[in-house]
Amino acid sequence: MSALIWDKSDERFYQTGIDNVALYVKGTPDPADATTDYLTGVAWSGVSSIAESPSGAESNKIYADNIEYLNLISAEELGLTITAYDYPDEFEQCDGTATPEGVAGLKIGQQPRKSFGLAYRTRIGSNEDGDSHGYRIHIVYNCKAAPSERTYNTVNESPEAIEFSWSITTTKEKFSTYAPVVNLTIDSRKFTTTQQQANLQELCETLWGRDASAQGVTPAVTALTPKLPKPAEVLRILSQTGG
Amino acid sequence: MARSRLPFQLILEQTVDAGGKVYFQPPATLNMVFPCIRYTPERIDGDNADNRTYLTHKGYNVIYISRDPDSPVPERLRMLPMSRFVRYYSHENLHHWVFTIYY
Repeated sequence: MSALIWDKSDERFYQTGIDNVALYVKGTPDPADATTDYLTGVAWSGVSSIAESPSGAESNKIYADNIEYLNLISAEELGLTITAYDYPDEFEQCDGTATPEGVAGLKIGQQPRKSFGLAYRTRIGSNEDGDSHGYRIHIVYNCKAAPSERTYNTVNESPEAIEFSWSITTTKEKFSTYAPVVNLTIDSRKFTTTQQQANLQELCETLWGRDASAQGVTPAVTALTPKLPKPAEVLRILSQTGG
Repeated sequence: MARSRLPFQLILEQTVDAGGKVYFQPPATLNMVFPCIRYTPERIDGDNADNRTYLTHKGYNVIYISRDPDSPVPERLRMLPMSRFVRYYSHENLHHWVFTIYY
């Protein structure tokens, strides 16, 4: 085995940016579709940041027989903080706002908050390719938004848009033989074969939808509505062998 | 799509005294009539989201030029939203009030 090498020019990676944020409000869009627990996804424009804040996994040492007998680790949790200049109408029901049917424009606050899921993409850059070397897809399940402060300021000498912020708590979701999970991340750099790249493409189209091909174009491509697949469905899509 | 400049031109025309002119990027060869407002693009600021510029804010360099040192127009310009008085100077018996105004 040769010696370790640090900072090779083609192995200097970094992560940056956020885009393609999609919101999925919890619900059952089609009882026959067992692959999701969420309604059709909608685009969330204007997101400036999503901070992931893991917590828990704290050490709790137990002593016995004059020694450190056990080291119990508490459960790990994930919180998020979303900041954005705007939010889709669908998010209002997740933020405690109800809109009565037939009364467009009326918003009723302090209502029950719906759970939701998120999918978003961050970039992986490299020294040689810049910001477009690859990307990571982040999927977060069972989110709940907490009430947050909004400060409406007077217009002053400089233009300033309100940047909304929400604290998000999460609840874990069952995932086959693994411990319950809240988030999945998918690293595009690891999908190297044609089949793997087709699987990744399928996952992207599942999350963010797909337009139908124009008439006369072959092969014809049907439209796909965006949806948030369950963790087991993500695993199934990404592990297809094409056989 | 960026906000049109023409409504801003109308606001300036309403702000300047009757008979006053408003010039946008006048060429150096133009003989300006005073009093007047001369304005040019000065800066374009932006707020980023979704890995791109999400909001764009255009700022103009607005100069009111008059022989009257007590003209009320500078005060009117200062009262416009997102207006900031930058400086005053006098040149060849003409008074200049310089503002940065976002629109």
